[in-house]
Amino acid sequence: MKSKIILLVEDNPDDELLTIRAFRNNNIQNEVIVAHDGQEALDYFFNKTGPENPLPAVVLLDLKLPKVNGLEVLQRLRNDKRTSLQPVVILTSSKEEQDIINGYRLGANSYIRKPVDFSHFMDAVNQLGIYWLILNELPAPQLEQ
Amino acid sequence: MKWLDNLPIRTKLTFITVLSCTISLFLASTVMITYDNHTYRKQKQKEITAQAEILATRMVASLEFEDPAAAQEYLNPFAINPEIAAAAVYTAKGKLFASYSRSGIRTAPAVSEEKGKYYKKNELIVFWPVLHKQRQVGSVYLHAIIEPLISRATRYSGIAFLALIASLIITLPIAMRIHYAIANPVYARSLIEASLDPMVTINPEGTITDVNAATIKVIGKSRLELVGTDFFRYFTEPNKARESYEQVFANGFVTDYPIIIWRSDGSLTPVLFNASVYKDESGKVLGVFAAARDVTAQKQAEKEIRLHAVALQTANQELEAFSYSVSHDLRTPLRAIDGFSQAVLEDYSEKLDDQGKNYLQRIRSATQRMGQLIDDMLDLSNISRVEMRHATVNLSALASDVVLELQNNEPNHIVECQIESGLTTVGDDSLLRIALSNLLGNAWKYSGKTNKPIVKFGMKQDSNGKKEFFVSDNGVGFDMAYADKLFCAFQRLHSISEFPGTGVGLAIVQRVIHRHGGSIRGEGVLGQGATFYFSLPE
Repeated sequence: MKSKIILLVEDNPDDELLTIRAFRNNNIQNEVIVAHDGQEALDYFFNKTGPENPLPAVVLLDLKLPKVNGLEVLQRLRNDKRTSLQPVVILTSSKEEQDIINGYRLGANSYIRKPVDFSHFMDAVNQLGIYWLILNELPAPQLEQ
Repeated sequence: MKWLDNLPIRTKLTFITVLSCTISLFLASTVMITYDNHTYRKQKQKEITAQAEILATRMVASLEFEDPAAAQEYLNPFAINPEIAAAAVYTAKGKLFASYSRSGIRTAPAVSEEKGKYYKKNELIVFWPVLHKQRQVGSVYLHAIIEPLISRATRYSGIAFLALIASLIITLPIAMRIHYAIANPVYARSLIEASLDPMVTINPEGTITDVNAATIKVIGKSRLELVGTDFFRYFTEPNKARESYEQVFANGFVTDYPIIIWRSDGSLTPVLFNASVYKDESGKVLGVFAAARDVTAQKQAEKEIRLHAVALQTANQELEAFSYSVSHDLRTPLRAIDGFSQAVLEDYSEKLDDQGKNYLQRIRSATQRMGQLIDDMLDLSNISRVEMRHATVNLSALASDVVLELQNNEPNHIVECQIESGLTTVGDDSLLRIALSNLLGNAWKYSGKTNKPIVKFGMKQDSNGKKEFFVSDNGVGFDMAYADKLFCAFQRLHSISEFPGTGVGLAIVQRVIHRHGGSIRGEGVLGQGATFYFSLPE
């Protein structure tokens, strides 16, 4: 079985590096694809030129992103038949109530706030990995209508 | 007569009635007294002259026979006539022949005068010839003191006064009735004139039939200029005015119809018009009665409120954007600092000595504290921003929840908790939970080094019936000298090494209580504990 892909949508290179480091330190060896802004994330899913990219096991979505922000990405995913059931975990710095509410309203599967303390961050990433890559069962791919 | 204008109409009418009665009676009395005096004096003159004539005829014999005693006999009876003060008879040569004087008030002159009668003030003097066969044989003299005018006038005025009272008894009730007949319309009119709101009556053709003072003021034309002119021309939108007028006829009234009055000098007055039709007794519509309310000040105030609201909204949006940005952007570099410090510690452990590792640890804890400060700052600003939802809140239940949470977090920390049951208030459940959680959390924290920590939540009622909730502990307390710093954000009365924290908790509590319109105060004794009292409006 092909290993499950993680799509990390993260514009900050420090956070990108630290998140990947946290995965590796927790022995999560799955392929991590990084989209550096919202548009890149959308391009991964809705690539018009090449063949379709496989759906990731989980999207780790930051909210504050250049070009297209995280909530818009989420909305676009939910509005498309193929990606409407795609597991999306919002992984961001803020715990602003409006972000949390909007995130869930648009159909986020989870909302995780990145702790400042790296040890806590490591814990969070570890649990994320165990949950979404091992425990969680994915739906069968939805066919285009 | 200015003072008269300020009197109530009823007093005015009474005053006028009394005054006119008095003046007319006074004038009548004066004329009567003058006339009476005149006729009285003439009458008296006639009487006394007649008496003198009679006396003269009776004196003929006495003078002819030169018998003064007999003459005296005729004079003495004057004693019974109180008017005659003196009387005398003179010989033909004018020598005193016989005389009478009552009590010596007046005495007859020694020598007679020519025939005549004249007044000396109230005294009438009459000399009358005694004739015998067309020959004057002597003369008589009568001196009468008639009643003085003043004593009669006094009597008359007494009568006039009685007449005045009598006439007032008759006229005052009439005046009252007149008051009702006249004063009510006058009163109503003066009310209309006193109104600050312009009022107009308009006939069915749309012509102004009457205006009050406020209309004159707002349009800037006199009553004469306004009455008889077309009502609609005084508005910036005559058609709209006409439309409202037609509405009045269709519905019988209009309410708060917004329109702008065009003043003669060009200035504009926004008003709200209220108008209704008025009818005669048979129900026929005579016209429209319209009253306007000048809403210039209101509009101005509304504009200011709108500007303030916009400014406030802008400020709020900026604040929201600011905290949103703080929430996202300030934490990210901190995570990098902490993360890479940890990475260095993990990956380059063997290349670092203990001091280097210690420094990195310090970087990490400072970063984490910074993260905590940012979170607390956001929490504090959030307290002021969240929308409040009022409902009945069971504070006792909230307090129990909070204590349970505290116990779960620190199961080894044994604290005796006394929570008074059944305490409720009206407020925002989640905000009050935050407040109680901070107050009880503090009590928990600051009593942590006490032997037998006791944390209480309850309510006290003072003698005025004012209710205060309180959270108390028997912990380290604080010096009342610093009581004013208790509720300032990021102010702490204890060092971080003694008791951890950022100094935001009580500031948050105070904001919550203030947002509810309540008040909070703290009392403490160093080493003995602290009590925080808060009251919420009932």
